Amino acid sequence: MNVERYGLECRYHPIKTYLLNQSDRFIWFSPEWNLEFRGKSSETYEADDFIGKSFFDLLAGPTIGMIYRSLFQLVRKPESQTLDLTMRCDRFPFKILMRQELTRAESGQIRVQLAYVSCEALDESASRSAYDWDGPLRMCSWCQSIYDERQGLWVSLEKSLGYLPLLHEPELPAISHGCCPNCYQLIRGKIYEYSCRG
Amino acid sequence: MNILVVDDDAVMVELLQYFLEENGMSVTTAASPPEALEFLLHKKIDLVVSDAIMPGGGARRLLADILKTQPDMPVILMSGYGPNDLNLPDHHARGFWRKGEAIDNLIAMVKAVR
Repeated sequence: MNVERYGLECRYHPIKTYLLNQSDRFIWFSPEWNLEFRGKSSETYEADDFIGKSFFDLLAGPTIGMIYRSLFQLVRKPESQTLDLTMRCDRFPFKILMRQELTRAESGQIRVQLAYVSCEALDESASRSAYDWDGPLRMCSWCQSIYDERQGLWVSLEKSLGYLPLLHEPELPAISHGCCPNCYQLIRGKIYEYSCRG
Repeated sequence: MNILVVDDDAVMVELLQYFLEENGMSVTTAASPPEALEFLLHKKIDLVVSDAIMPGGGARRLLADILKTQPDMPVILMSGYGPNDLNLPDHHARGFWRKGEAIDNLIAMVKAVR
């Protein structure tokens, strides 16, 4: 166990905020980000160095990108409330829980607030992958819910992020876009109406 | 018009089949590129509507098969990813339908092929 690193992960992390514009580029960071960067890296860079960069250029892979695109799509809906998510964001060998609040701001901007919830050391023998993916990750194309193979249930994306390691896995499976039963019924109804209209 | 719908998601296939048949099309379905190729070789197909990402090579494999066997076959691709995220080879795809968009948009593309 890397005791020094564990200490860093477990220390008090202030709440930090950033703002994305309608094109998902960083336009503002709260000052707490600089404390975070200085504490974790020997390189000297400031949060403002990331202003103008695309959020998606900093992500690890297409699946995580798709999950964030889906979350942003949910947040940008006119009727959306703040998404208050507790997410596993492990950095092996630590299990890290973070709270992330995504709020729709003016002109399609999104305000993201991050807070650490907890950090636990994983067992030394723990697999680097925390979940055995049997196949592709199934997502509903319309409501973005995720199919949980273990439970045999469709679960909202927000809820699934609390227990499925969708944002930290080194190798997430590709997303297969399908249709959940609720959306299936809804869309069949719309097709029927469309057909009746001719 | 005979349309071949290719998608590994059975629910999506059923939905698209229902939608296209309600709009007067004849629909054949396949769950993978190899299965689709069998239909392309042995059945009269006027248009292929295919998922871009599937096990076994996805649309990349299907497009390569179509180019070899029936290069004039029109294809509409569909995916939950955007077209720029997919890095697919240049092809005569007649349209791209993003899964989750209004399903009416798909019929406009299909009718444009007819």
